[in-house]
Amino acid sequence: MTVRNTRNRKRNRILRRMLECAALLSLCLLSGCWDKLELEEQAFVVVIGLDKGPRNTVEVTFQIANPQIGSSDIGTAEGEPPSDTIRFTSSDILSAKELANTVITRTINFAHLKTMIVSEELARDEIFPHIAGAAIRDPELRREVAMIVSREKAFDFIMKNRPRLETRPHKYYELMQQRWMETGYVPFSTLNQYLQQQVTDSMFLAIYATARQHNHRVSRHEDAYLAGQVPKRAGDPVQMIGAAVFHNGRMVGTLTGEQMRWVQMLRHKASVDAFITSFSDPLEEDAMVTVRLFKNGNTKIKFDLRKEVPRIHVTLPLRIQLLSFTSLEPYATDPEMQRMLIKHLKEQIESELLEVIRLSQKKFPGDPFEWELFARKHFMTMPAYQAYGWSKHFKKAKVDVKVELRLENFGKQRTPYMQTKRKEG
Amino acid sequence: MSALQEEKVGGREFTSIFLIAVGMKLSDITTTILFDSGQTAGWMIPLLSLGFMLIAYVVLMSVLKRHPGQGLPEIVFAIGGKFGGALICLLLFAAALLMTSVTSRGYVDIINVMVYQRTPLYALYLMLLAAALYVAHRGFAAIARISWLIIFPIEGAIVLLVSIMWQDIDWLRLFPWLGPGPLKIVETGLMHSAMFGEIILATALVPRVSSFKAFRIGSALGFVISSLKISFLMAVYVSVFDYPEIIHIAYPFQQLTKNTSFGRVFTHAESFFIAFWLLISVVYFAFYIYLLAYLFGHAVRASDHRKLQIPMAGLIFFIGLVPGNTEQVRSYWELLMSYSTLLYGALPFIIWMLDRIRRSRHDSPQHPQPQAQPNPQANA
Repeated sequence: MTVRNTRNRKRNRILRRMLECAALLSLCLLSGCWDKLELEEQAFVVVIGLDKGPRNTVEVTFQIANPQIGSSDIGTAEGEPPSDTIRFTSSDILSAKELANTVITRTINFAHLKTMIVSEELARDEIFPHIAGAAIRDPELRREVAMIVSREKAFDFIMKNRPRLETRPHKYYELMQQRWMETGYVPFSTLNQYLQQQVTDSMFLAIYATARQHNHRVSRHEDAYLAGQVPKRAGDPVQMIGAAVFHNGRMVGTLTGEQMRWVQMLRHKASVDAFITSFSDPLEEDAMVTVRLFKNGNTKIKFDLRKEVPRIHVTLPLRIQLLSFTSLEPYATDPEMQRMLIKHLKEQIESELLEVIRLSQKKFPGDPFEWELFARKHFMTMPAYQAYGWSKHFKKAKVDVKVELRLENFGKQRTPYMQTKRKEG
Repeated sequence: MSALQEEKVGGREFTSIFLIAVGMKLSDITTTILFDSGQTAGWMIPLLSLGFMLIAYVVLMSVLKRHPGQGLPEIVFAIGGKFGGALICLLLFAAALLMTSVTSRGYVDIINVMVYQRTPLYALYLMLLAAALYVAHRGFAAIARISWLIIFPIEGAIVLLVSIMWQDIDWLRLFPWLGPGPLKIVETGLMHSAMFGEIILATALVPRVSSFKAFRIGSALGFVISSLKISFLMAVYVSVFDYPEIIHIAYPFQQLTKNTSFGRVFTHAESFFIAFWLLISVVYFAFYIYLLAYLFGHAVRASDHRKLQIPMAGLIFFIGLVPGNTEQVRSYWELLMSYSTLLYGALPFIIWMLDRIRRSRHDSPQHPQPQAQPNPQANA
């Protein structure tokens, strides 16, 4: 009797344990109903475009990726385009997101949004800081979204941007982002930086792009172009070069690709560390010297703010690789000529840097070089710094630039071909 | 199982509890509130606050040393009598309860705003507290063991987070280094010392720790490292987001995790960090539920304080739901902080004085040397 009783009790206990386990397991299965996301029911927006609409509204363009393209599931989606583009007019981005579901069958999701395109018209409008500031409240919208300013309407830009070599739109921007970092023609601008540098004493630079060919001109310097001016034929219509300059959250001007590169060099931490550029040849008027420039450590910036007119000393350590020179002078083998070349390049870089600095002092309301960080170092407290007014003082500052240049190598050819010829002649 | 038979906790487990419970503050609304008044110098405030709190702690420790094997409630009852002891215990309990409620509400708000926007607040709250209650119910030793188990992965995750964000950090953004001015920083530091109030509350748990030495080293180490950690992470937040922007951001830690990515393929690394964060919030609140039940149990001389844990969790839940929105949580937090700073700052001195008076009254006629109390190391 007692044996049976204990056995029964044991069985009961096991049964109870199992029931408990089942209850706990069901918790796992039944929970999460409120915020559940069905992967199949998501529409991932990869590019968002913003235009100015009538009566303080925004025209929001969504480019929605088709996840079936470029995956193994392509068989069921034959004939579907890689992405769909739709525009809505709404009071802000988030309400446009819901409005989009009047057309789109799936839930609009910003989790994979990588790029935001803003038309120049809207960027210059006073409403823009409000739109951008309001949109960031949505946790789905990441601060790491790249920000591009297009010269034409963002909708036209997105519609025209059909890269031939990249089927999927997100891949296009992902790869472009890598190229931006390499070439330095455009600033690497994110929404995070935009929001950070919305304060009075700081300037923000955004990527400048267009899908339309503007006044096409040829410059001797291969990088002195704005978006739309690059001399190219055929290929994708979109070009990204230069920067849109923002102050207080509104666009106030532009910088060419060349100027942008020097601005990056003048910032103490550059997002680009090497680029190829050309200078005039010291010995031959028409010839060009093409070099690869490396930033050799951080730019050193020294301030003297004691006087009313601040003095700024900038030291830029650079190293260069000589890639080609059309004059075909024997720079590689002649040490005297080398010294001359280095001196010449140094002077050229210094003058170009100074030109950019003067231009921004004259044209812009603040400094685009992030020098306010150095100015801040000279103040003990925030109120003291704010009372000083850095932008005001920057505009009248005396700046001198010193370039420390080291010529590393001359490429894989030692002596130029023409050298022998010329000696014969 | 009675409270007295509970397993004692070793030094390293005890230290890791504080590394978690206090270090957690780097991820909640504490940092946002400190940035409001601390600006670019916000990172100094945790260090100053701890400095102020350590003074009170040292005073309290000098009393504890004379009462080996006894925790704060026992001492308070011994020197304050039945009524005074219960009063002080209840005061501490009330401060801790309100703080826990507001803090836990802050956590639920973070989960609600940053992760599950459509889930009702009460459901998130219930789930968090249920998990914490489950851990708390396993006893102090269980909380300690879990803390010890997860402390290394957690510290590792923080190191990983900072190293991923390293290239976005620009230390120049910490200038002007005095922020709003030295006076304001010291004032804010003093006013917010209660954020390390746990160092006073923790003394209640002396009997739960294997030795007094382990308690002393564990609590001091836990608090000093945690405050350094909070301070460092606050400096990282400013140097990633920059000054005026940092005060616009509601939850800097969660924002920082949102900005991370492992290379180009894994771009949404925040879920990795959020998982860790949720895990430690459960342990964090388990510790609090345990502590609250322990304090209240001693105040009312309950035989088994563990039975009080469920009501405690219920109280936290209902008080936590009182604030209407996230900003109200913030203002309640601010208010509580200044009042409890007064409590945590003054209490050790009051206890010390009462202890002195009692000793001089008790001991002077019989014993010529009142200092020669039993060796504090005796129970080690």
